[in-house]
Amino acid sequence: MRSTHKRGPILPGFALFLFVILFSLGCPPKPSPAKDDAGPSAVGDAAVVNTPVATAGDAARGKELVATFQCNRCHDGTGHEAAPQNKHCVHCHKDIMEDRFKAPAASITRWKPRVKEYADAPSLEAMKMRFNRTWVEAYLQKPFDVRPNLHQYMPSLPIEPQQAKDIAAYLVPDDHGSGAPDLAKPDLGKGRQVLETKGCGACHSMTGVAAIPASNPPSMDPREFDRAHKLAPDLRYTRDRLRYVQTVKAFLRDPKAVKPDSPMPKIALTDEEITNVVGYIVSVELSDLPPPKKAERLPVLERKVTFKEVDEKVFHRTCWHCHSEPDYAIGDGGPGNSGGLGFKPRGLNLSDYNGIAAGYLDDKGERAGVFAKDKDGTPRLVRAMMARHEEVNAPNGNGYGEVRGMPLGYDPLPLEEIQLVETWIAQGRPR
Amino acid sequence: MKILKVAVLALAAFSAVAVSANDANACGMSVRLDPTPQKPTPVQEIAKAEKSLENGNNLAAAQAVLSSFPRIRNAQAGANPLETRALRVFALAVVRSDGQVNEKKAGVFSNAEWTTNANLEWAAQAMREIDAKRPNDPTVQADLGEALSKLPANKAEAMTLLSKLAEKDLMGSPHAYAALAKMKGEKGDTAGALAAIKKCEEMSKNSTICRTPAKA
Repeated sequence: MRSTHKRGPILPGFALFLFVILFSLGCPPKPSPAKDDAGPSAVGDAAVVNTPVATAGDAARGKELVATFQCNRCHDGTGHEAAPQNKHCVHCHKDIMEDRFKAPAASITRWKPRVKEYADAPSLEAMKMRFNRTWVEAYLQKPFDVRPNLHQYMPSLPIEPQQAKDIAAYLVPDDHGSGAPDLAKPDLGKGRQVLETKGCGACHSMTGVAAIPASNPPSMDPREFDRAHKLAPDLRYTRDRLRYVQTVKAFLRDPKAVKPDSPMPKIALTDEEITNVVGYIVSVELSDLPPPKKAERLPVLERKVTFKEVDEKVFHRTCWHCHSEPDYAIGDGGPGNSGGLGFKPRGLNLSDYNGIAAGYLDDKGERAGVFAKDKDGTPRLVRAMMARHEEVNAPNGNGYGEVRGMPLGYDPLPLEEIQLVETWIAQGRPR
Repeated sequence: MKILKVAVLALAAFSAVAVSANDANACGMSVRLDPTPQKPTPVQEIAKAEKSLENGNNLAAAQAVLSSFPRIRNAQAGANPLETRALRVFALAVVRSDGQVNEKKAGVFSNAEWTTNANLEWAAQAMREIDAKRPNDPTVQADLGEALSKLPANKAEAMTLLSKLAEKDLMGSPHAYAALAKMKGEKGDTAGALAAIKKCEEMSKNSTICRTPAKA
């Protein structure tokens, strides 16, 4: 619910997997042409983007876990009924945007700009036909940003390795076959040309190659285009996330025939164009991702910082939505207090001064202070906020540490806001 | 004339509450609702009571509670979230006024005659009941400790409770620190009392509560 550096406000809605993905195909059996010299290639013989690796997992247990982790609070297509409206982040935000939510008009007007970007999350429908189970399993444990236009992230949930296996087995039950071989030989140069001229760049990015110019996409309803834009994945990851070539090609030919709720438009492409563009996406050489940027804490301020200021700019603006006082919120203090999304109740109430001082329940069920300092003198609260920077700054989910980054599933708080919190703590937490 | 005064006060209170914001629930989370020009709801009344209590207006806090829950003394802690909030506010208004605030003082009819001691004992019992419904919650424990500190027979228990919270740095109530400071001072622990006063002053908007007697 706030604007931050890269994406603006973020709500606790998240983006489990992805939906649109485009194309895919052929494991590159040999080094591919450089990104800007994409000539004909011999890739494309293989029928899968990724060789599936069978992983043991109990799909029935996985289905139960999808309910336990409340994936249906954000995602459709989970195989469970959608969460009740008052618990469903995405549906609730949609209701606000479409004037169905019952609240004073002034509140609706104030909320709309904040929730606008949080009224969409990818559906999990038809995942089993397209995804690589191994990738899903890894992503569940260390999610990272695969949809650069979507403000929220898939949050890091307390999913154990075996649980990730089980959920992946449920979402992608058949990960063994590879389908018939695809013998088509893509021309990567022509594939790149398709990306540049068929409107792909209007929604998709592909890190690791030259930026895709934004050509005109097919004519679309503006709202549908907005949704497609938000949910469009970074094509860099297509080769890891997806598998069957035939399915991906079928998806490109007619996205809704493969995934009925997909906002991906149907684009007029010949078979040759499909072969070439998919070949480019899955086999063109990608440059390495930049090394993680180190976010440095700012020094504490000299001026006086009161609780009122910190509360208005940080606690009540961001933290409170998930860490509230149960008695003020129909008995549910949010996932960060009463529990939810697989988290056990932590009893952390960041809605008022006394609640913040009262700390949280640790793993032993003992109360621990959010101001307690770690070995390098950093208060726990500040550590959690800084950890979110590390999580987001490190590529491919490699930034997770001992302390879960907060806000969960959101952009990190700007360093200036963390500085404000740290200053307030250093000054003795004055009212 | 008195009736007119009460009417004017009531009108002023209504106007203030009618435009005050309140907290609510949306999308499974807490949100802040904007003001709506309508009759104050019990939620708004209790929010107003909490604000009065925080600002040191104990009688006004009690009056706001009684306007929605005239029989608050019969409330069951934990039965209804809003009623539990109201019970806490009323009990703390009693505690922070040293037992002076009661229904009669608040202008509400009551057959019961509350001595200050009986009133304080009732408040401590109410806080105990809330604590039983919200175990392991330092916010409630701090309020309970503050209430117990007013009763000579319960001072030792209050001291233990508040000292533990202070030791773990889990106490956000300046009033609880003030109570702890007072008890430490009474025991001759001047350094401990000064440390608690310092915490109280850091946490309090009005640091006079850290050193001066309570008021209605």
